[in-house]
Amino acid sequence: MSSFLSAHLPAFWVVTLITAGLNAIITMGLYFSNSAGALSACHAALAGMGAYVAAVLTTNFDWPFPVALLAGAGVGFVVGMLLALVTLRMNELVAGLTTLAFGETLVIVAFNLDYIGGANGFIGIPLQTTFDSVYPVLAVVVFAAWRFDRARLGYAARACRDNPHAAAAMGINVPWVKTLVFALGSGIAGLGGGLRAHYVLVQNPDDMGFFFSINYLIFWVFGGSYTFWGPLFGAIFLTILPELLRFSLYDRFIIYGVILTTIVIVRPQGVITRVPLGRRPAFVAWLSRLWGRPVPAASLGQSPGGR
Amino acid sequence: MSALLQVSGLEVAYGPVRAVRGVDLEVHQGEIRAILGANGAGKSSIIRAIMGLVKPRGGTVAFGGQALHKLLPHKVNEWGIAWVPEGRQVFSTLTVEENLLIGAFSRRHGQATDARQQQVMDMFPTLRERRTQLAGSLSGGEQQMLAIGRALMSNPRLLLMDEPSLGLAPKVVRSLFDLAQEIRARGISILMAEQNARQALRVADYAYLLEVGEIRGGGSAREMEASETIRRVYLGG
Amino acid sequence: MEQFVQQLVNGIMAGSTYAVVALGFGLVFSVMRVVNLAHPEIFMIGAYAAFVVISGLHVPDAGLDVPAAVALFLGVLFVAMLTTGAAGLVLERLVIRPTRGTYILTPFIATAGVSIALQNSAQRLFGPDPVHVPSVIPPNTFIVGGVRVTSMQLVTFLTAVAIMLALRYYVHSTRWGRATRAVAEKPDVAAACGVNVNLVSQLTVGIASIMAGAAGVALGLLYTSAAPFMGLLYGLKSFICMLVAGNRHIEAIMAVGLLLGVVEAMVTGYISSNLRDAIAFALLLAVLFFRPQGLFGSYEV
Repeated sequence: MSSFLSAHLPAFWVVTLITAGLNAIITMGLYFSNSAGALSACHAALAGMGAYVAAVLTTNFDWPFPVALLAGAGVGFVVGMLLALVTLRMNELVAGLTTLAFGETLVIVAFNLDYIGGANGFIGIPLQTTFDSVYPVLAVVVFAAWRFDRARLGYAARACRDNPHAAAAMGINVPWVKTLVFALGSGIAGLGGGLRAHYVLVQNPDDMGFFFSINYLIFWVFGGSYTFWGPLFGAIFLTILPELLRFSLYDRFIIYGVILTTIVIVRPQGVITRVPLGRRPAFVAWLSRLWGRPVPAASLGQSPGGR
Repeated sequence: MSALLQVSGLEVAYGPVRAVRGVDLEVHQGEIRAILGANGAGKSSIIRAIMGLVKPRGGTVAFGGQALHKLLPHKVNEWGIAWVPEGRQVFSTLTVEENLLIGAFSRRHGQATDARQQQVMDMFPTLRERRTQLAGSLSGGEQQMLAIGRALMSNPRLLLMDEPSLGLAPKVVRSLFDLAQEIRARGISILMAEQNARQALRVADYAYLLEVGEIRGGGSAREMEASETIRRVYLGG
Repeated sequence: MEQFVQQLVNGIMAGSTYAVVALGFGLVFSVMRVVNLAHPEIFMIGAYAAFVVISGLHVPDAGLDVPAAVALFLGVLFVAMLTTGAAGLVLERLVIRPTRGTYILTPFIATAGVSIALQNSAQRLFGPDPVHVPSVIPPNTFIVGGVRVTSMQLVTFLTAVAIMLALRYYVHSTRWGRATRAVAEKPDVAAACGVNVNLVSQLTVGIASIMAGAAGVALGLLYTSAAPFMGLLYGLKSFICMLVAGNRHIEAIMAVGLLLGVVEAMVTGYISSNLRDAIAFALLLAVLFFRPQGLFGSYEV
């Protein structure tokens, strides 16, 4: 697939597609982490942790690439779990701020750890990631999200997000669900980070900062945070958008900023919204109507006051 | 005599939930009218819609002939309606005096405001004592007085009271409803939403019964007190 | 001991600007529950406005005598505050008003988009490298009791203090300031008392933007440069000041801003300058652990 693409597309499009795929993986991680009501403002840092771990393992210890990736994901999972446990009792805003502070702390720690390169970053990472590694992993993650949405855990997570008290009253173990889900999302982020490190070949402390975490949050909200299609779309669209705007370097970002602002004002619930599961998503229904197939009225509903 | 406040066909909905369905009610000059009903019947929604805090999905609200239902709350206040919210809702980080001054925000500076403030503090001597205290440090009953005093500062023709007796001790509740009579005596009309039917009927001239967003009955206070429906309300409220 | 006092003074000088920018964030957040991510970019606009005016007038570097310098400074300040104030009003009307009151991330992302657009506009107009802002104030250094203070530091500090005093007066002693506090606490009730909440919203963002503009001018002149990304680090630290202080009392934000400046100066002077940027985060972590509603309390969000 890689060679097919490189033969037919200009190089920078291949780069863009791969970057979009990497962003999508990490944003899917964010989807998992936030699905029970948390707000992770440190996902870039979690990805970065996975990246450092995987990179050190392949570069310094010659571990096989897939195993190193899993190790990075594992570390992300554990750290995410700890972070979730710490923020369990906090109110939403404070928890979000704590993740923010945590992310920045990781940046500073990475800055000062010379073993992983300190301020100059960790270099010399072998190139292991290609289109053929990114998109299959993304497909697996998307499949996992799809299964998650339909599984008990997915319902439980959404219940925790919409109304934690009611969820607890229904017998859902809210702390357990929130922690597990957050940890899963952090593990996926670690995986994505590891993949990214083996593509960009350098891992800097700055890449873990608040600015990049905000980017992932933007993809998540912009795309529509109530369904996994949302973050997937958001990440890919917003990564590709600057490339589509083939103007000068600055103009494209000016337009990007304007588009972002406009869409979020006009459609605050995100581009892709969800109808309660069991019914077909609104945009699929729209597609059906477009094709002339009748859509039973009962399968449409209002998106549940999506924030 | 045409009504001071005329509400026709009011519809208030929150998303798919219809909280108020086709409500008609009116308040005449110099009257106290009560909306009785259980928790969640929609009483607060009616009050909020009149005040402009929530946009009705349908129906009209007219006050002294002026259509209000499209106006923002501060404009509604300028037209002469004041709100005593459910649960007091005083500005706890402002002093008692500042709370009163905010109540008169839409009036211009000058004599009227000072005189009004003196009048209100005459009515509520405790507020004069606690003038420079932060409103958050007042007791529940005192906060209720402050909330009412604040509403009176804008010299309203109609006072909207939302569950005034909620959370107050019985003795305080009694004096609260006595106060309502005093306010009526000064020429200010009152529309109150209340769960405490007994006290409300003691002072009201007329009462409506609200159930699940619809007016199920209405009549003079004497009629309501005597009727079967009220026994239901007593049991249910 | 001398070094201690010197660093203390340096810290207070630097901290006063953190305080002014943080106040802008804090004002908008407590009154409207909106995190205005474009606030640091408005700060940047202030600095660039100073650059444009001063270079446009072809003022030679520090070649003016004191009265002319002060007049020029005030003039530049005025123009910058006008510009940023207008920018803030436009921002409020187009971006903040449609998104306020809903989910907290919506205005956050909307203003993030604006900040991206503004940063890149600055790069496009002025280039990605910092531009040199001619210093207007003659570079005298005063030595008082063994402590060195440059004239520009003094000017910056005095400007910041003037702004903070003006804001405090506005909030506590004027009718609209009172209304602003009421809206911060309970917007619905304030509206029912006759307060035009939309107007308060505009006023608040306008004032915050004017303050940011003034801070931008002061800093642009202090470091004699303006850059497209100057808002980022400054903005983040000021945001942290706001979080640490809590959004209940504006005096708290002023105090924390000064505190941060002082602690940073102490750490830079006595330990190492590498850790300077970490101080803010350390402070944030400590506060989040022990007093998550901020050192001096917050309204509910």
